[in-house]
Amino acid sequence: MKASGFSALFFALSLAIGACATGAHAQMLPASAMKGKHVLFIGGATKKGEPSDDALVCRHLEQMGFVVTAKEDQDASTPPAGTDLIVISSTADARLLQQRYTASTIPAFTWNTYLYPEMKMTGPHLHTDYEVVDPQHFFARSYSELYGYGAGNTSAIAEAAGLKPQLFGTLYLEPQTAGWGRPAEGATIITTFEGDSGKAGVFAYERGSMMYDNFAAPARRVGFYLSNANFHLLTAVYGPAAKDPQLYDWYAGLRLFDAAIRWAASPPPAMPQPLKTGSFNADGKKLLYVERKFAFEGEETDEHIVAHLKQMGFNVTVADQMDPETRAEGEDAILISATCSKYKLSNKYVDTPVPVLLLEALYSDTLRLTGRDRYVNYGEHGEPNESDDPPEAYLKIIGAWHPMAAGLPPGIVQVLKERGMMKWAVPEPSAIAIASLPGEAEQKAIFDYEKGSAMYGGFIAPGRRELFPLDNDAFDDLTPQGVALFDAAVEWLVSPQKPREGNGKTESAGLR
Amino acid sequence: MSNMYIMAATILLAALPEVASPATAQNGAAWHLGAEYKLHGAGAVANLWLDASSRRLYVAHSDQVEVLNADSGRSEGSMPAHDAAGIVVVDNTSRGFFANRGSDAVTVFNPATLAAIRTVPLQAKNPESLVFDSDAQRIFVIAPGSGEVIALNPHSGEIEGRIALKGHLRQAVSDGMGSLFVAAQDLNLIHVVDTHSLKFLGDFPSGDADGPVSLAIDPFGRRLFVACSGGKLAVIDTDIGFTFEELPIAAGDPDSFFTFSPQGKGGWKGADFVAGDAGTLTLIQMNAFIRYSEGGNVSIPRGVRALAYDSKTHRIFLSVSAPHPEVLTLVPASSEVTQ
Repeated sequence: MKASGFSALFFALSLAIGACATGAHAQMLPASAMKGKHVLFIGGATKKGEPSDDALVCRHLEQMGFVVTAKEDQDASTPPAGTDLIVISSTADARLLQQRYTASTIPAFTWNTYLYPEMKMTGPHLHTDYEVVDPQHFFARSYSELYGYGAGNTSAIAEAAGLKPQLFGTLYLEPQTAGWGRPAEGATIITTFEGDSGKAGVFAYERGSMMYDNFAAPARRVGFYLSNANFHLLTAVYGPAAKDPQLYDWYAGLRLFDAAIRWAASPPPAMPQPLKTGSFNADGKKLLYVERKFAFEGEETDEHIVAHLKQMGFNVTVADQMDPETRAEGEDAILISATCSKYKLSNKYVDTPVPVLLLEALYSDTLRLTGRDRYVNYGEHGEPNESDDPPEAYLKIIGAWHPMAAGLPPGIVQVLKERGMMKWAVPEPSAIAIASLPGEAEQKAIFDYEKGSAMYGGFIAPGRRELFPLDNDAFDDLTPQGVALFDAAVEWLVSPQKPREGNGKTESAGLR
Repeated sequence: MSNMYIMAATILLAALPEVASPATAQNGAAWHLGAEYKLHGAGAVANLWLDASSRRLYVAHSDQVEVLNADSGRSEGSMPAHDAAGIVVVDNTSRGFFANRGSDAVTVFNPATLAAIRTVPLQAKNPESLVFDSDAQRIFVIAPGSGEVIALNPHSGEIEGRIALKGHLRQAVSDGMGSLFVAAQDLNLIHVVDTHSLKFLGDFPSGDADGPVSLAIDPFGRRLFVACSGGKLAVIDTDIGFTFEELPIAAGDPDSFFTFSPQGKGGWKGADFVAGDAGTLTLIQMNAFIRYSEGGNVSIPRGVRALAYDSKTHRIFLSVSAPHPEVLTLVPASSEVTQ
């Protein structure tokens, strides 16, 4: 992962872009920057005769440049001043550690699956929220854990490791003990097991993102699928085979570990400042607003949204839902209004490389934002004739670290002045989740797929895709916080997206 | 199927009906020293080569290559040499080859008569190991003094090419599929060379095993056994260059070989044998293609320089140089394995 001259230049440029354009994409430090950083390694004793790879891991971390201080799980002393990263092995006794590091503002990286609930990284239920799959008790399934899926392919960790949205080899060939967790809604899921998008092998929480039990991450957190003695079996490829791109992609385990460690030890982005209405100027960017013209409901609101967008500095063109997709050519962004009929829209704007902000959540499946099962993959609260769920005026901010969260703190925020219809969808793990419906962790209201992300069914996002559910008349009912979220979503829609960095041999920036 | 595969398959099939084999001995106590073969010349023994079909044991021995009857130890002749090292006899060409470190040359000889056919000046320093690659039908000479690998035609002895490699080169082995692996002791790397194009293909790291010296190969499992001077043996998947197992061996300058010896369910599937300076023969037990474990140690005289395995009698030949040069035999305890 050494930076070439070009990638170093790109890295500097991307930092500059991040600073001036998106404001909050902090860098993932280059491998060379790990030198001298202090790791506190927490391990424990294994049963007599059982092997442990802790010494190997410590040596590997030292080879990465870290200064490693090893400590036993029984030592409850506070981490030494200057500790940059806490690494917790599965050999440490989770019952001893309990919540010793849960609220620590030092980043933590762990493969201690039983510690996930204590760290608020998952819920508390064994086999449901987290599980350790070992060959003795789960022989057949332990074979399945040899295969991971690159679910969060546009995350910084995945990009640094060169992970693609496809299967890869997690551990070398022989069934091993591996752990998974079902993270809370604010997590970024990097890899999954067994075809279950919630069974995360590698997952991460950005500082400020929502962990389990409404606990906002006090620092970066990473969970990894390892166990006591299989670090040395993390896949890697050398020699002639390393030049074969498909073999290189397959043997990604050690690269993932290194990238995840590096991400955890890199500084998080500064938390976004509260967005000031009117502070953004689109500077004449071209935006196509797709609506149902002469709609009997919502027409006035469409006019208000268009006026608002113009106020933001957009050069807005209004298109009817029946207009051809070619209307999007040359545009910088597309907004699809809730007044549109999903049926009449057909499959338009699915393949366009132009960024799309969708206000009509029922169109989520067509755009591949989610699956096709209504009320399972997408749905609404507060629809009088169709929904079992009551109307809603609040959302829960789960991705406070991201610019799309408009600087709002983690937790509940009122977005509508009065309770009304609130739509949702369940995105794939590669989406950046900003807000969910209160009490419904799976149901995300605001989220984003970056260009290149693996969307539903393996569809690769041809451009940025966002959901911001806003029913026909709801725009006029937005609270100031709601308007701030809307503006942040629009601003992010046209913000530069950093180029994909690909094969794990270049540096990358930010969690996303 | 390459010739090497046919050869290896023959070894495997021959071993199948055997109840006992080297790996029958699941600990060191099941082995004992057998006959000692005295050598005539002075000077350290550098290498051994067993031609199992002709029952001849070639002993590279300072200023000569002594040839012994493998079963009786009786001398069957000798060939003059200049600090002899690696030896190879290629059955299908009726040619034998040995390296002369002292004259930087390879001698081509007739194994039937032990008469020298020609001397091939290598223009490379200190040639040591010789390897025959059945896939490319080439002899490879490892010359650590100049950091080169030289390819020879096994029929004519002509030099067909050479490639420079980095580091202090030690032993080499071929997989019979077009790859030659060469240990670079000081770099902790195994170089991979295409035996056809003679191009460098890449490196395998030896993991945490320090100082790769001796290489042995299991062509079926595609496993490379890398015995290291630092006291570890690395097992590498040759498909991907990945070290998935590291096991302790005695520190020092080792020699090694691998042989299949299937023992049925739960038993040994094969074994890698390692010996060197420390007075210990270490057995690495193959339990499966993906699982290996420590298989015990046998006390042997110190200062072993070379090993050879007799697939017919399952004996191991060891060369020692002190107090005087000789070849020792190591015999599995079970009487069923001896003739």
